[in-house]
Amino acid sequence: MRLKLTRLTAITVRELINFFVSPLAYFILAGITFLALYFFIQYLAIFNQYLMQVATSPLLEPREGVSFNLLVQGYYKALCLIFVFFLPAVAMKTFADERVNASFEYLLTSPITTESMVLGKFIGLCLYLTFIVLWLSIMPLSLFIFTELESLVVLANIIGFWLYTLALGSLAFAISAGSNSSIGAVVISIVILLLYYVVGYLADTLSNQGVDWLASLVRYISPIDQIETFLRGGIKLSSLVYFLTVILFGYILAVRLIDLKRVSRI
Amino acid sequence: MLRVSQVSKWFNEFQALKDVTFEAKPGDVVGFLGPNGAGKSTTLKIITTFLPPDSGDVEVNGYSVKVNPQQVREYIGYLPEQSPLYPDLRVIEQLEFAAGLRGLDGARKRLAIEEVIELCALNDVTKKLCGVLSKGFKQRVGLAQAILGKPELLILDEPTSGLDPIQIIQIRELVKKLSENRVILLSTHILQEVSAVCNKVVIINKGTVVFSSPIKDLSIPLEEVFIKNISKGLHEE
Repeated sequence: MRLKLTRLTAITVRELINFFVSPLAYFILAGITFLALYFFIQYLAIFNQYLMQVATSPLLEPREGVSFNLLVQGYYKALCLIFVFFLPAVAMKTFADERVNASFEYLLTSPITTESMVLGKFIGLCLYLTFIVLWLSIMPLSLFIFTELESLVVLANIIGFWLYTLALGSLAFAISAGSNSSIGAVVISIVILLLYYVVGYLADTLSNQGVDWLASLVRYISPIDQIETFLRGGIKLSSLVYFLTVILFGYILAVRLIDLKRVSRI
Repeated sequence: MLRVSQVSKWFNEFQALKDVTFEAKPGDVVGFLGPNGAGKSTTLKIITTFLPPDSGDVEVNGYSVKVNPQQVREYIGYLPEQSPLYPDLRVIEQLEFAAGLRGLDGARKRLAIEEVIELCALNDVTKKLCGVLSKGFKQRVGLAQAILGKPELLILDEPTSGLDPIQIIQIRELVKKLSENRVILLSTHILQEVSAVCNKVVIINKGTVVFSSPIKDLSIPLEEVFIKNISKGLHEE
């Protein structure tokens, strides 16, 4: 057990170094921070404008349910879309760099199982993504300094967005494991994650056509529908199970794809 | 210690290996010779469990690559043709990573790393990034991480390829030093290398072992043995 843990730790530490040392990783981090900041300021400006209107117009009554929580919700919703493009670029590094450094063969011939090797990389990716989620949460958390927010609502937003990030990240990770080219992995990941992101919109069409059972199924599959409860400030067990299942699926798929590549390697 | 028995490998319609068979015991430094494309690297990839054989089997310390690949890997240290180093890691970090993969930790890890640094003369470059090392030092670091944990079977794929004459001599000296109590399988297409460091030779051509013998039993120079066996294949073609 200790032996396995030592090997797993070696891979995870290496993966974290890879994320925090590479200039590309910092470039991506800077890009995502800039975009997040842009959306946050936009939402803040819109919200301030609304508050000004309410304050200056005696005829305008404050609408029920409109609070800074809504700003936080809008911010994380925007990040959900941005991450469809961001996550493939990050996940690509996990396996693409091994091929570039010719270390993939070395890893697969080291005394470590494929499961442990993939798990080590996966944990490294999850830790890095957790760091990113916390980093990007500084902006909404900074609102606590200036205004009153419901702590539990903000916490639910962060947890929901964190699970969403890990779920989509695990899918991009699996695609990276199965791909021979890093650019190919990024393109395929973006297409698949985009389809996954928009799948929920099909539900309304299906519902209008009377195929309610399929509409319900599509709604359940949609990550946007699953994160909705969290963004509204609640935590739903079924959504929690859903995201954990997708995360596990991504990991298992990555292991299977690496094994398949080993057998079919030419 | 190492038994390769009738190993065959196909890549689609192309048969890369045909019934490859040879053995080695501790103390053997086997020169695995052959022209480019003869099947040397494929054989090594099968022994290291990177590729599965289509038929036949390889046993390392009694463990089969088909049945117990994980156990086989415990006994193997492998230096692929291109040293598998991370350019953004310092030499010491690279060795720590390799030691971690071998399951070494704490004092055992520290001692093992110190030992290979000494053996491979890496004292002056431990703080340097692997990405800025010369080809010769990269090979030495690759070799150092391959011998971490004292694996009983050391597999070296073209370890002197691309090195200057001094670096070649240094690597050969190192290989000789490492040969005690373990099997070294040295894949190369340089005949002088085999004469200089090996005590056994296996020649492979077109995926088939065409010659296998201890060096001391050769009645004619290795160059002649090689040309005779390779040209035999050419005439048959």
